[in-house]
This record gives sequence, structure tokens and C-alpha cells, in this order.
Amino acid sequence: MKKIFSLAAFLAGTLLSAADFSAEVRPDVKYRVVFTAPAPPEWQIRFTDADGNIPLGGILSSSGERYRGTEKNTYVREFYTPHFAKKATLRTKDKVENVRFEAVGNSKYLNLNPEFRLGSENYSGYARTTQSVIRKGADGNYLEVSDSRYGMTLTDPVPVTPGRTYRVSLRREGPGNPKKNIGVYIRFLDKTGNVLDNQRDYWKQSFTFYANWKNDFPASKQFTAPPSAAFLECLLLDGKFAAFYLTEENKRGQAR
Amino acid sequence: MRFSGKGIFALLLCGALAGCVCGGQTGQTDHPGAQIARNGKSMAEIIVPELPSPPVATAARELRKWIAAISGAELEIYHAPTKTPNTKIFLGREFAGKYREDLAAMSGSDGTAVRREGSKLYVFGAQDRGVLNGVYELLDRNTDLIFARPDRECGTVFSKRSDLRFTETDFRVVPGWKERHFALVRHHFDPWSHEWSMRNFANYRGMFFNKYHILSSLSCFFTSSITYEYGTLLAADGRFERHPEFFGWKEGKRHPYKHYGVQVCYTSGEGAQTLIRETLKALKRDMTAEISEVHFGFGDTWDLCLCPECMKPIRCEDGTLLRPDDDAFRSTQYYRYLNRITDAVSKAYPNLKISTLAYLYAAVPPKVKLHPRLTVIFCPYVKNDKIPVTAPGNAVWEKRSREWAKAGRNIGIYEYYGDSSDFPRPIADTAMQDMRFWNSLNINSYLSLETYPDYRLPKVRDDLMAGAWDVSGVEYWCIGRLMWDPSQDVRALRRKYFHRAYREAAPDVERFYAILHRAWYSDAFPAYWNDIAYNSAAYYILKKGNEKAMRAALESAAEKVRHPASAKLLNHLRARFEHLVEVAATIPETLTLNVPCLSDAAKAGEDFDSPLWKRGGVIDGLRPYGKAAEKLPADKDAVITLLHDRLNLYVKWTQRLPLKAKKGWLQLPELECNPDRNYPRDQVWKNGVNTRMTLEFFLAPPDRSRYFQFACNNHGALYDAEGYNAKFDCGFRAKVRKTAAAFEAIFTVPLLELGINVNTGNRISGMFCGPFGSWNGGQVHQMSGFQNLYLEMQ
Repeated sequence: MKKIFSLAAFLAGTLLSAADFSAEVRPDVKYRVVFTAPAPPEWQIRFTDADGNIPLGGILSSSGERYRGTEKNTYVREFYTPHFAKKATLRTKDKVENVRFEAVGNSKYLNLNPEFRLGSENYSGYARTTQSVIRKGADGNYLEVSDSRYGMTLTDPVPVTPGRTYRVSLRREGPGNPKKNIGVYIRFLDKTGNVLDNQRDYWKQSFTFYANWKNDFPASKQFTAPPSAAFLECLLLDGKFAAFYLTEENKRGQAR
Repeated sequence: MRFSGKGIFALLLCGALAGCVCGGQTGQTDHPGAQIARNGKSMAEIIVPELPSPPVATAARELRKWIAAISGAELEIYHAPTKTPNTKIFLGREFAGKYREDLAAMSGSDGTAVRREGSKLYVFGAQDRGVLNGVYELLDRNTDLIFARPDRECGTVFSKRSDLRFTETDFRVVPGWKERHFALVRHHFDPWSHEWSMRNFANYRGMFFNKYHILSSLSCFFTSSITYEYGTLLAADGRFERHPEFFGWKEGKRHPYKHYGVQVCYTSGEGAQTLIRETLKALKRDMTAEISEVHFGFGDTWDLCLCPECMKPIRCEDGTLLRPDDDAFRSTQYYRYLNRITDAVSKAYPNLKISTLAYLYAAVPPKVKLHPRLTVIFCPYVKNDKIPVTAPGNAVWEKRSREWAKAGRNIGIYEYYGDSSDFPRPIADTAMQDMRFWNSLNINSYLSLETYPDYRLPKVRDDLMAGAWDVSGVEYWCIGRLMWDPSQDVRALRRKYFHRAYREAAPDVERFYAILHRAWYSDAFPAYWNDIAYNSAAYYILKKGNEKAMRAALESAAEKVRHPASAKLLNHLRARFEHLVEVAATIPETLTLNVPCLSDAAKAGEDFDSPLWKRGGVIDGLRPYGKAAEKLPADKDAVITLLHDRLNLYVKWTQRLPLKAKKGWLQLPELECNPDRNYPRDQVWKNGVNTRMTLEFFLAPPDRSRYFQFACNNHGALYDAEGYNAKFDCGFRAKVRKTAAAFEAIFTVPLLELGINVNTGNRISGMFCGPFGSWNGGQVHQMSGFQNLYLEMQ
């Protein structure tokens, strides 16, 4: 896999102590914030609209352990800016340094952190993880989702356009064949984060990576965003993911 | 309980203002209420805390969604108020610190309060879930919106109005039940039914879910429980092979655990210790932030361990000896076992709720003190749903309710009001009385209602679930409201439902249901959770001559209905009504069997091969349950012959069984018949006696004020009861044998003991229920399906 290409709006700041750091941002675009701190910090990324207000969904709250960078004392969080965002502000409780916001440009994949390269302690792109952990493998990091009853991982919502088609694919970690199939369930949300009414039959929109397939079997499945869809999110179950990819169908050629 | 500072005034004002275009400046205190929308434009905004919890974020989205649907105005949701001069709707207790009295009154519950100060409206609760409830209360009190059923097309009915003003903005509700649950049965997961229940104040998710359902249902209920079954935990790692002594003993050996098989050994101390270790291991593996409860479950069976230790009398804390034939014997054994597990789990997880279902044998209040951390969900099963739990016919459940109320602090109820609702049983009246009674005993921690999801199947005949909503949506809605606030009156609730859901057609729909209400409650026949809808329709609609009047009411409603959603609701109601009466009409007329009187019939009672049986009245063939028009295959059918001699009724039952069948099915060659086992009386389904091969029948005296049940199994174990009261003992006898072609039993039933004096009343009724079918397709315990028995005088 190619390294994620970072570019555009490179914005740097230095030596901030429990203060705010702001940058202009574009809506529905992938960004990352990077900084250093002597101890795992708590911080918020606050997005304001054109009037300076913060609509619902405009505050991302983070803690250091979940977004630790690969280098010592660095912290990284990748995210999509909300559709209303004009400005992003990093607000920290503790002293942090070398803050920078940068757009994550030209990524092949729609989802964030698809190959877990941000580190084995960095859950960017995965909004909810229960009994799931990113581990270091022989060929890079991988996500292990327990097959226990509540083991699951939910991706961050990814912006989509109604009528366009998106493709889900993955690579399984490790040789051999596990006992359980990997399950991926997808659903579309409207712009306020509500699950669309016709998207409730969760289990009917799924992609199964069967246990007897080779770990790099090129299986995938496509889904078309229904009217009013603004986001897509995926529930990942039961297995080890070396990578999980979301691509827009007409860009698939670039993706693999 | 509701408290409304300005409620009556606001209601009057709301009515007076209906249809008016309100002018003036938004949020000015000299105008009544809070302006929300004007000419379809937003005149308000919603403010949530900086990090809103899932219930508060959901509340904001729901409020925005329904205001937009009603008025066309899309309210913005912010984390802090803007400078725009509009109505500010603050969601969350973070903004309501000054309302200390409200917060104190709602403490420990998800109750809600709404207060207004000028242009600022505060919706809050002591718990965040209360905010969501507040949003639904606010919509309910200030619009005509109703979440009538989960159906996506027609389930939500409301008027569109581009000008919207909230006028009832000063109230507080503290719920009667802390946890409220619609337990979906037949199909355990249905997102729309879950969402409907959330919008009608349910706050509990239930236990029956596959993994991929969990996240979806969490978006409605926010917390979760995890269920462990003792036998399943104990059986891990092939433990039965190494420690069979932890498992149930029956018929000379220990058995591996099966949900419907013999249960684990509740007196095995080492088994309990192992179970504790397994439970803690499982919790460590399974716990997530959302799990607030661990529930311990057992198999749906009376099949209990019969090892010597389990059959030994129990010395109670007060020194009394509890013998195995005591009702409380098995429950005491069970709760002693569970107390040990509760103690260990509560030490490891001090904030985790620990619960179990007081069901079957565990429904009897035990003679042991409950662990204080244990929540017991009492399941009054089976009771007559037509009368309240305090009525004499349900005396055993009233007694147990009172005993449970004294037994522990955390007692809940698991109810079956929603079952059999594919026939429109007007059951909310009973539910209201029961809920108030239980609340009066301080039983208020949890109420669950078995419900079908609004899930439509392609064939109408199979369409029991959505079919139930077609006719019983009103009852579900009323019971949901009563769980939230049992002080409400069910008649007023029903009227509100009809007027909001059916609007112009409401009076006719109300008339339709009123006919049924009279027919149902004016008849003394009991109603149980497993009533068959078609039999009920045949009895309460056709037989009582209500079909024409009910149809006429619906036809009149169809002429008046205007709102498209109401029209669809009405179409569903009419279609289901017509289906019920159509199938009910195919049920053969109630049969009448003449039972000859023979002075020497007692001889037949002693002899399977007596020639006297040839002179008896004969039921030549049973029908599949609920399908009177169909026949049973010959190798599953039965012949039942009856005689009497004024003193006794003699019943010879020849039950054919397949000679070859699939593994696990009842089949004659493998059927044991050992009448010398001498099982204790009334234990046919209890204490390991359940063999699946039981013949049972029901008799009701001429006045049909009560009925009796008789049963025996292939070993000659006997059971008799008055209704569900197994304490009744009329001294009936039965003998059994197995022939080359059938299993046979002869019953001798003393008539006078049942209050049947042939000289004063010889027209009795009854029902015969075998392993594959019943007389004319009737159901166990369902009196409306009983057929006639004419005891001849000569």
C-alpha cells in the first residue's frame, strides 16, 4: 500500500499551553491534527460554522491513549470535517506543542486509517470499538475484533452522495482459515446522523468475508447510497482485519 | 404521576388558539407559549450540552425531526445558544440547575420536566433519558402527533401546521415504572418496533438479540443487559464429562444440560463455585460500557434435578423444614443457589444490576432471604387476563405479588398482556388495574410486556404479528402510556388514540371497539396468553352476533376518514377484521357429543377392552391446534370414548403415535409406559416427570363459571387443577397401557366433585388436547373453544 499522502493546508503552531489553536478548514474533507505533549492529553476539536456557532456534531472529544502517534509523545487524530465547518479549533486541557492541522489529500480510500498505519494505539476512523484492539502484526498493524457477544467496531461516518455507489472490501490478517466468517454490516445516515428509515434492516446490507477464503481473496461488495444519504458507516465483526477499504465505485481502479 | 403547574390553563388556551395565526415577537412573555415555527420558518433553536450523551443527542434530533414534519421548519441544533432572538430550547440537566425541586423529585428515574421562562424552554431529567421522554411529552401535549404503531407508512399521524407554538410548557412526570419494556416475541428484533416503543417511553432493550442487532437497538435504549444461562456456562469446556455431578439427575443418571431438558443441580456446592468462576470469566470477556445488567436465566421447563440432595427437605432460616411437596421448595432451592452467585458478582461488579426471572418454579416467593442486590422479575404466568390480579380467579398471583413485595426491594413484573393480540383483546383495562395494584405494593422497578413486532409476513394467514398491530395497536399504545404513568385512565387514553389516529373516523372506530369491549368483558370465560384469535373471533364476534354491527361501524368509518395515514390504519383494521371473521366462519359449529349413561359404566372404567366402550359417545379424530378444518394424519390421531353413570365420567383415550418418526419426535416404539413409577400427584410437568407424552382434557360445569383440567402421562402420573390452581384435587384416577398400535388411558372423573349434578344440569362443556391436536382444533385452557358434552339422563 502506498503511504497516505498528506498535503494542502499545512498549518503549524508552536508551544501552546492549555489554549486554543484554530485553523480555517473546508467542510466534508479529511484532515488530521498532530501535536506533541509530555503526557497523554485530553482535547477537543471544535468546528464552527460561518456564523461562529457550533452545531450538533461540531465537537470531537479525544483522549491521548486512543490517538497516540507512532513517534514518542506525538498524538494524531484523523477526521472528516463536518458539512458546516468553516473553522477548526483545538482546545486542550494540558500543555501541548507543535500543533498542526493538515488536510489528508488524495487518499485512495474514503475511510480513515484503512490499514491502521497511524499506529497500534491510534483508533482514528473507528468511532466505537468494543472488545476490539489494533495489534502489531508481522506485516503491519491489524484490527482484531473479538467474536464475543459484544465484540464490534464501528467506523466513523464517511460522507457519501445519494445515488453514487460505494464498494466495501478487506484483507484478512494472518495465514490459515479462522473458525468464523468476518461480517461487515453497513448503513446510511442522513445529514444529522439519523439512520435512514429504509436502512434499519441492518443485517440485510452486509458483506461476508468467508472463513474458507484466502486472506487476500479479492472479494468486495457494492452499495448504492439512497436518497437523503449523507454518511455511510460500517460495523465490523468477528475477525482480524489487515485492512478495511471503502471506495467510491468509479474510483475503484485507483484504489487497489 | 403527572404534575402540571399550568396544565389546565395551557390546555384551555391551546384549544382557544387552535387555528389562529399568532403574531407578535417570538419569545415575548406577554404571548402564550413559545413560538416554534411561523409560516413554515424556524422561530426556535435547540441547545444541547457540549458533549451530549446519546439520549440527549437523540432527543435533539427527534425534536427537530418532528417539528420539521409538522411545520416544515428545520430547527438548528447548537452546543451553545446563538445571538438570534428566537425561542431557545435547552435540552439537558446541565441547563436546569435552578430547578432543584424537579430534579429531586425525579431522582433515580428517567422522569422528565419541562419549564419555561420567557423565550427559554428547559427540557430535562435527573437522568439523560428523561430528556428524550420530555421531548415526546412536549410533542404529545402541544401537537396532535401520535406514534400509533411502528408501521413506516402509516404509523405516525399528525396535522401539518406551518405555525407552531408550544403552550403547555410547565409540567413534570415521574414514571410509575422505572424500566419499561416491550419484549418482542416470535421475531425478537425489529428496529421500527423498538423505535416505536422508545417514542412511547419504553427504556429497556431486552435480552433476545444477535450480535449485529445490538448496536441498532442501543440507539433506542442506550444501555444493555447480558444474559447468561446457568447450564450453558457450566457446560463450557466439556465439563459434563469431568463433573457430571454439577448437572441434573433424572431416571438414574446425570444429563448434559439442554434448555428444555433437565436443569443443573441447584444443590451442588462445587457446581455453584464453578459457575461463579465461569460467570466472572464471561463478564470479564463480555462487559462493555453500555452493559448495566447481567441477567441469569434457566431453561423454559419444570424439568429439575431429582438427585437425593435435591429431594432432601430444606432447613429454613427460621428452623422450619421445607418439604419437597411444598410450593416454595424448588424456588427456595433455586434462590439459595442464585444468592451465592449474586454475592460473588456484586462484589466484583458493585454497580452492575443482577437480575433473574421469577418464572415457573421460581415464581413462588422462596423461604430464603433474597440477596439485597438481586432484582427479581416476577412472572405471574399463567393467569386469567380478563380479570385483575386482585380478582378471586387470580388469587394465587395476588398472594404471590404481596409476598414478593415483602421479599425484596427490587421487584419487577414480566407480563403477557400483548400475547394473542392478533385478536383485539381489550386488555388495557386489566393492565391498568394490575399496574396500580403492583405500584401500591411498591413493585415498580421494571415492567415488561410481551409484544409482537409490527412485522408483516406475505400470507395473511401467517400474519400474526403485524396482524396484531392492525387490531390491537390501541392496546399496545395504552399500555405503553400506562407503564409510563399508571395514574392515567384507560378509557381516556383509548379515546385519545382513536381521535389522533383515526381523526374524522374516530367515533365509528370507537363504536367498533366498544362492541367488542362489551362482548369480551361481559362474558365470564377466562382469557389466557395463548388464546387462539380465530376461536376468539368465532366466539366473541360471530356467536354473539356482533359481526354486522362491527362491520357497519368500520364501513361508516371508511366513508369519513380523510387523513391518508388514518385511512391506511383503517384499511389494515378492516382487512384484519374481515380475515378474522372469514376464518372464524370456517370453524365448525360448536360440536355436541352425547355421552351415554350406563349404570354399569364403572366396569368399563376398569377394563380397556370392555364391550361397554362400544356403547360410548365417540370423538373420532382430533384436529391440529387452531385448524378445525384440517385433519390429523392417521398415525397422530386419536379416538376418545365417553360414558358416565351420573357419579363419574369415564374417558377412554386411544392415542395413536407414529411407528417411525424423526429422531426426537414422539413415536410409539420408543414410548415407555411404566404405570408403577408412582410419581407424586400433580407433578406431570414438574420435577423431572415431564415426558412430553401427556393427554389432557378440560371440563366446565353447566354454568361455565369455572373449569377443571385433568391430565396423565405415559407413566400414569396424574394432574388435576381448577383453572391453573393445582391445589385442587378431585380424586380422579387414570390407568394407562401401550398396545401395538397406540398408547391408551382410561380416566375416571367424579362429577359431583366438579359441581356437576346431572339431575340439575347435564349440559357441560369440555376440550380434549393431545400431543398433536385437539377436539375441533381448540386450545388448552381456552374456554371459548370448549365443545358441548350432553350427559344423557338414561
